[in-house]
Amino acid sequence: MTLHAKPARITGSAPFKQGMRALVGAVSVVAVQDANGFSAGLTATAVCSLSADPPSLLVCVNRSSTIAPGLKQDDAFSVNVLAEDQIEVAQAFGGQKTVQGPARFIYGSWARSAHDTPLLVGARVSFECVVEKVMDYATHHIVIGRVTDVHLRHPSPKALLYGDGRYISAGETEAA
Amino acid sequence: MLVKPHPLKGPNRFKLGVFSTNADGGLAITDVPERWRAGWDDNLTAAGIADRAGLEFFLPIARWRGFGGKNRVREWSFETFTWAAGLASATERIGLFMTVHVPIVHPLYAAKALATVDHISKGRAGLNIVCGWNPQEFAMFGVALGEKGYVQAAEWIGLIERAYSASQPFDFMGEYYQLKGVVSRPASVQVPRPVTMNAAFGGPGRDFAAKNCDYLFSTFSELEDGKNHVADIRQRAAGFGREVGIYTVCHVVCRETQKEADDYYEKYAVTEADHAAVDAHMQGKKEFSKSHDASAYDLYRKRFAGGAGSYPLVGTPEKIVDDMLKISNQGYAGAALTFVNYTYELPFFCDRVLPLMKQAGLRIN
Repeated sequence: MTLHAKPARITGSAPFKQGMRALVGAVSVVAVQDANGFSAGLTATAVCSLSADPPSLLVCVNRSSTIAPGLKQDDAFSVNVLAEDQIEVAQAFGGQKTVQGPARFIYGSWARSAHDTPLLVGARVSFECVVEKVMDYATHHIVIGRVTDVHLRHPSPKALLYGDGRYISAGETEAA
Repeated sequence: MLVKPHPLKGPNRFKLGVFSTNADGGLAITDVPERWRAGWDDNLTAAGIADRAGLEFFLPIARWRGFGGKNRVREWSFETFTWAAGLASATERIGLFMTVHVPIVHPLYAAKALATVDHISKGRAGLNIVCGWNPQEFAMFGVALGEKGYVQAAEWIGLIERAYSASQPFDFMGEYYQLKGVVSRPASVQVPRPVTMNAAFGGPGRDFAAKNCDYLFSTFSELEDGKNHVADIRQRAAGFGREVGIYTVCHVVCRETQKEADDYYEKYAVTEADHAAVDAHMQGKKEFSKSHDASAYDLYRKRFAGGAGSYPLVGTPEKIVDDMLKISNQGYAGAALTFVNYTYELPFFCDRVLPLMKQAGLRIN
């Protein structure tokens, strides 16, 4: 008896994107500056905690994005979680302004860390990372970052969120 | 190091700075007895007032010799890296520019000095890149005024950025600089470099600014001309995938009544102007500078004595806020202001004009 290989069940990208609009998430800007002066940043919602031991996180970036070449093994980068007053920073690094490439850094104040990594001043938190491993899946790199330093802002400003195709301020919150 | 956002990236719709306190006379060419002598204590006091009032920036001019006249106006001026370093130590939040002549200062010296001020000020430094227009100043250094000043300036600022970002020594072979094993540490606090500005008026200069600077200062003769400059600069910047904040310069006489303001303007800029120096300055500018409309020379002698040809804000606090609203509506992000005597006049300006700007929606703090 011959088994007919069934095509893998998969939905279209349009309903997928529509569905993902409902996933409200924090907005981060991933930023790099390498030894040759190449600097790039990208607004990302695909950022998540991986493990506390060792402290690590993962970031997914499109392989064709300008930041992708700056996220190779052992490269330093930062993940900056935006505050509610940083919508324009999110727009600039998300390609929603006319600025391109390194000119995006005119949005936001960027400070150099002790390890020469750009950190966004006024972010809720900036994670300094070193690329531990890069895995590829389809259009994207999955970048695992070893967290080398954490810069928290005190007092913590309200978070900027993204969902339903809009930027949202976290507003009033209640203890979980 | 606790770094705050750079003041020029703050939330106010119309940002304010103070211009030219480091030089004799400020931007005025006058013989009134209270004219600005630009001593260090007065600089410190003026910066303190501006800092506490929440003004965004302090901007010096770069002058190496004066314009003669009775008072040898501008001959006395503080060098701007060291001036900014001193003020950085004495202030808390105001942005501090340095004004640097590309042909006179080596880029690696500039990189280190600028980074030093950026560290002292915790990220409040700014760089005003100037190519220079005064051949007498260049002759003093034995430097010829180059034909392609902005080509050199692009190489110059590119070198500074690369020196900050490079973690290993590098060689550089350019048209103007051929350097071996370049290294510059510390790098600036700000990434990729401290904010940059320029005040070019001609096409090549504006293209340089559009490509390399964060802010461009542009003067205008009439308020309505402002928007044309704004459109021109925005278009040039867009061509490089960039945005440039556009600022102007104004000389200010702010008094309780319009008559008091008008009378004082007439007195310091006409009746008691340093006429010999005005003649020398206007002649020099006319021949060598492209920084103003040609018509400005003949029409606005008073404005030259009043504030080197910048736009006058003369009148009551209400009138001045009205004018600033109009300037803002032309697309300007802010203005650098000058006064005859900064320490006498800034307190009244800050007390009376800033609250009205809040009411008018020009500032939130």
